[in-house]
Amino acid sequence: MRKGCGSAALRRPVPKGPCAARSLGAAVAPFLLVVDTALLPQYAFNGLVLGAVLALAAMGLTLVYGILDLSNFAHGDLLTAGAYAALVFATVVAASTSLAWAGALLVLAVAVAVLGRFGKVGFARLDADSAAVAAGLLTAVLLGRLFAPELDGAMVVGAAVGAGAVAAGLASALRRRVGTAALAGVAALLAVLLALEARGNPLVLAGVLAAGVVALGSVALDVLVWRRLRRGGATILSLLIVSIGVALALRHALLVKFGGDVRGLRQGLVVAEEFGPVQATPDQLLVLVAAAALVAATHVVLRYTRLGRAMRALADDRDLAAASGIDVDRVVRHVWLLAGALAGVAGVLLGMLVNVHPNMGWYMLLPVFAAVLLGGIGSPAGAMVGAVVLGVVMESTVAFAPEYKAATAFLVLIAVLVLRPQGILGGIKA
Amino acid sequence: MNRWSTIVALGTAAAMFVALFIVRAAQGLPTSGQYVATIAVTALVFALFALALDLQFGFAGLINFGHVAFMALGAYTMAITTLSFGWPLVAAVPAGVLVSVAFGLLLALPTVRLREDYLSIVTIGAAEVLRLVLLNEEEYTGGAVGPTGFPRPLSGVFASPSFVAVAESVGVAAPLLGIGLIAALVLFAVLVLLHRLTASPWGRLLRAMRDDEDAAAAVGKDVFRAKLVVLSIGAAVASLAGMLYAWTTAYFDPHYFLPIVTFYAWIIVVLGGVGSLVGAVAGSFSLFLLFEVARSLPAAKALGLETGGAGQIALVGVLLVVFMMFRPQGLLGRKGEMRYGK
Repeated sequence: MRKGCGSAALRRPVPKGPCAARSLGAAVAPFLLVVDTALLPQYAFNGLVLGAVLALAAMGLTLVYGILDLSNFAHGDLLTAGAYAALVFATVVAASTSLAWAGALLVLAVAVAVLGRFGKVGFARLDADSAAVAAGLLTAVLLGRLFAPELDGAMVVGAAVGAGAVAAGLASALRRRVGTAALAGVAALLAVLLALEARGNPLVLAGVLAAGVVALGSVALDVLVWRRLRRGGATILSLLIVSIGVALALRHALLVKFGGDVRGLRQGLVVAEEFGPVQATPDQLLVLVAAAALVAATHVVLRYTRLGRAMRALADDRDLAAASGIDVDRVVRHVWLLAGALAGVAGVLLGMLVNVHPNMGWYMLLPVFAAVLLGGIGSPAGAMVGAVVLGVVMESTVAFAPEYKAATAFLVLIAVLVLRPQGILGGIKA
Repeated sequence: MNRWSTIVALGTAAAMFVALFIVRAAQGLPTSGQYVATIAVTALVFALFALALDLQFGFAGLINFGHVAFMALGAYTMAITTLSFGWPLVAAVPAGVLVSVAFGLLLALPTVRLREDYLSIVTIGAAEVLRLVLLNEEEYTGGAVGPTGFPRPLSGVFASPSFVAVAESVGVAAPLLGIGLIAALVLFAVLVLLHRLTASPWGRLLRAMRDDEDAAAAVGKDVFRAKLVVLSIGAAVASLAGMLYAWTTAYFDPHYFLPIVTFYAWIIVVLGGVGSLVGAVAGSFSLFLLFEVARSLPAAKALGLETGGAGQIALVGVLLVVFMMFRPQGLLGRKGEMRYGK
């Protein structure tokens, strides 16, 4: 068998390099032959938007895989849960901004509490940051309500999140913690963007709430199911079957609750604007910006924060990490918090791009898995790259066989497994 | 299987049947011979379908989340070769088995050398893509309507006056009784075959491979080949189940092969006890009786517990999680056979 790219290379480290380019080329080249080239920029843009959303889901999935050894078949249904949560919250927000405002504060408070509580041992400084964030938030919200009562709740919360992030950033910068400071900067930027967009758009606040609910739900599921299995030393096989069970139960519980109708997260007519050869709707732009900012923020968390280092250490070698004093259960809860929040947001964004229905997340599972494997399973950066490639490939399929859009994801998956099972960036293990 | 688990199996099935009868009687619903026979034949077909999965997972540790694809290939190949090519069933049935096995090998080749998850991801994807093809390539598959008017085996015999008289005496439609008898025969044959296979030295190899693949390979066993053989046998049995399913309903379309059908087989295997062949049969009867009990409850409609309803599928999901967590050996499996821990 061939060396390097072939399936003979399994379970052995393989040098990166030309193989990656070759297999990527092999996966993409056929599509360039059949697609109308004048439309290529449009497909590329649509693919980029879809890819950005896929990336949010894929980074969470690959993180969970790396740390828990779990190929979570329920991950797609977390997206669906996020979209339906946003649907519910959007009506709450539309009915009463102050109620939603109270809800958002509650979610934030719980999130801060969770971070603070689970962040204690191993990364004690997180507590100081949490306190700074909480203090900043409360001050900003109070000031906003006192001096600008005419602003709506969403604006105030957005401004508050921004202020809290700035406070955390300053606190970290003073202690020369570059990663956290950078992260806080990204969060502040995101909050400002959200606050601007939130004027008259209940979906933004609803999306934030939905992400919080899915994140907390994922942590709850960890406590109820995954932690128990982990402690029992469950095999990869039993974890897979349980995850399918969770997926079926979650999806069909949503179906019982909300019915099978296709719903839209956005009402009213959407007008596309022209940008050179590309047409884009405001929603597409919002989705792209939000997803890109979150992907960047996740990357910063993983790369530059103590928490991120702990996560990567766990992914590398769980026993070694535990031996060196990292509290496995705490880090795992953070992983679920992060993966759940990302999946929740991805679901809301996907709901804005297409429609909300009980199978939306399930249909995305295969593309997300393909993205994860393409990037190298267990590698968040790889998942990011893989998702964008996959988004573009899938959107290009629309040109000649729209009914087989889901099938292209499968073809990419098979191509990756045959040509380069460890992915383009070389994941943790094949 | 020891005496205790036989008692558990028979007891469970009997208790569920009594429960079904009571629930239906309380609602004033009739429990006719035809009704019971329909449940029984469905359970027989799905027992066969689940047996294939039990061999793959319970004995060889292979995770096949696209099992329904092999069922669909069996049914569609049988229908297309008889309807479009005019083949007799004697040729169409082996053709269905062969197509299914070939598809299984195609999926297995790039994946079974990799970690266990890869086969599961690829099979689940393949089943969905296959369903897309069946739905869209209308020229051959009949699209959303499915192929209609395919022949059923021994239809002449089952239409004979003497057989019809026998069927009427037990209150069951003659074609259903006929297919039920064929299903029971096929199930029995496969059960005996698989029992002999898994009790043989080759069966021990499979179990060794499931428990520690590296160790099995280290003593010189060809693990890769064994996995391919297991997947092929599973694909063949599943395709037979697909054909029997088609003959039972006398009609099918792509919606008969949704991903959930795969997980009916999974919950049957897990209920019956992973690695227990008789357990698959008991699991199948338990599952379909449970469905019928749930469906006959007063609140069934509101909870989506009707056949194929959302509540029913949610129930399957919850059962999978609960059994894997608290009773991984199922109702009948030997403790330690399904090694839940490392």
